[in-house]
Amino acid sequence: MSRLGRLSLIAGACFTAPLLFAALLRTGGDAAALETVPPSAEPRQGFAVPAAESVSDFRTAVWAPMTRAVWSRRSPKPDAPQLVRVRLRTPEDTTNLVQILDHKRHEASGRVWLKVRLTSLPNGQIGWIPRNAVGGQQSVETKLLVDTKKFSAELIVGGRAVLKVPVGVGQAISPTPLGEFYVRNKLTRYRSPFYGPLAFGTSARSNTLTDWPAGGHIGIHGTNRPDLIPGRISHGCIRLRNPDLVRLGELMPIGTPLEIQ
Amino acid sequence: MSDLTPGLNLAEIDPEGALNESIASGVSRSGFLRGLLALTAGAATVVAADQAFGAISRTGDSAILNPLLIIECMQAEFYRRAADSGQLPANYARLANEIAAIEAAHVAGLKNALGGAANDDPYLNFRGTTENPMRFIRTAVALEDLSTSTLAGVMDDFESEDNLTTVAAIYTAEARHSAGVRLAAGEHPAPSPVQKWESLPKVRKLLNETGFLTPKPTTVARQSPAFTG
Repeated sequence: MSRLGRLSLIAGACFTAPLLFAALLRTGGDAAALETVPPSAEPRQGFAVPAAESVSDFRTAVWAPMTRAVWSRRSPKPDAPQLVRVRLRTPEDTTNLVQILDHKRHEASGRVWLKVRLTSLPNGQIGWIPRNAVGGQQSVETKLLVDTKKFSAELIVGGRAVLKVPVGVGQAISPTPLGEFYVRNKLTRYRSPFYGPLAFGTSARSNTLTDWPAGGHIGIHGTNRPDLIPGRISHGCIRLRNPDLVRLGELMPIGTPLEIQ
Repeated sequence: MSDLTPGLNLAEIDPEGALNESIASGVSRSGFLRGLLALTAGAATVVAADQAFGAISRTGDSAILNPLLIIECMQAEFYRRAADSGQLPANYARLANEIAAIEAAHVAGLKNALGGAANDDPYLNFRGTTENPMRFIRTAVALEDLSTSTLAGVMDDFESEDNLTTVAAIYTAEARHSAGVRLAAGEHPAPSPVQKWESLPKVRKLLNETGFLTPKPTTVARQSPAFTG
């Protein structure tokens, strides 16, 4: 069928269907009114468009990049007590991200405030920042669960476990902190066998190595001692065997929530 | 002019008067787009849309399908974030949620068609338009107009008639969305006897000017970690 013919068929179907339906109603449901419509083959489709599904089934978190540094506050209003400064860049010189837990409009100013997870010590702090301090919000459908007792990391994608690997976690003197965190950057192409081929930076911080350079952030990285995994082997970071880490790097986007238990 | 949100002072959200002007001037697509642009032009980031369009394959149907993918991604995210914002009345939130699901299906379909030639998802900042009822519905009308006029403009460019058939089917869904959001905005659902069209270069320019497409944040770095180890 020619292009014009196909378009005519689609346009014709759009416009004649209501008319035929109306005619059917007028004739009291006489199906004979449809007999004048010539049969036609279903048009071939160039590609498949799936059925529409609920968009909120598998989202695990929403994040946004900081576009300016601001003070976080205890409640969603400009004169609430300050908590900590939320910076524009991370210690690794990537854009700082915040994980967004809630929105609230400050009625007096009309401005929207965001409830965010803070990266300062003690771990687990929550604060509020103005929405206009962040860029576009992104959502993820992934979650990384780290079990420090079973020495395992499990990646959930779209509600389904797609990767489960053994890990090394912090020793007794420098334990891996427990709680809810998020992945905020990925470092690649450095030359450090100790950290393996790539490393994820997280919002978690060591509770014991507080004077560590760059703030003592907990990373998820590879190793040059795969024989030590699984076990309590690190200064708090989560160590994976390098092939497992490369696989994780392919599957886990920035902004993924991290639960350490 | 329809009063979409009783109690809301339009001047507060539209200090330049651009949106007010576009509403008062009727339902012309260009007027809405101007209003949309005026709301966001201060932060327009030309480089982002150039990045989004620049990487596309220049040959075959992918040269058309990739720009359509960008627009469908933009719509899907716009409605999704609006539905998530918690700042819209229930009827708008429900509308946003329902259209978001369909736009997401369009995105999936176009990605199926493009395979490895598909562009990365654009990085989007809707600059508060998903959090305010008036700005949400006006922007929804503008985006649906942009979508339908873009689809109308590429119909003659496809090499594959099968692709054309599927895109035409998407077009009818977008036309219904356009009518639906217009009705929700208190506008005539189909103000023109024929759909106007826009060329892809013009669409690219319009997308640039919205400021919704923004550069991706730097989340990957070539740097040795300083984590605790």
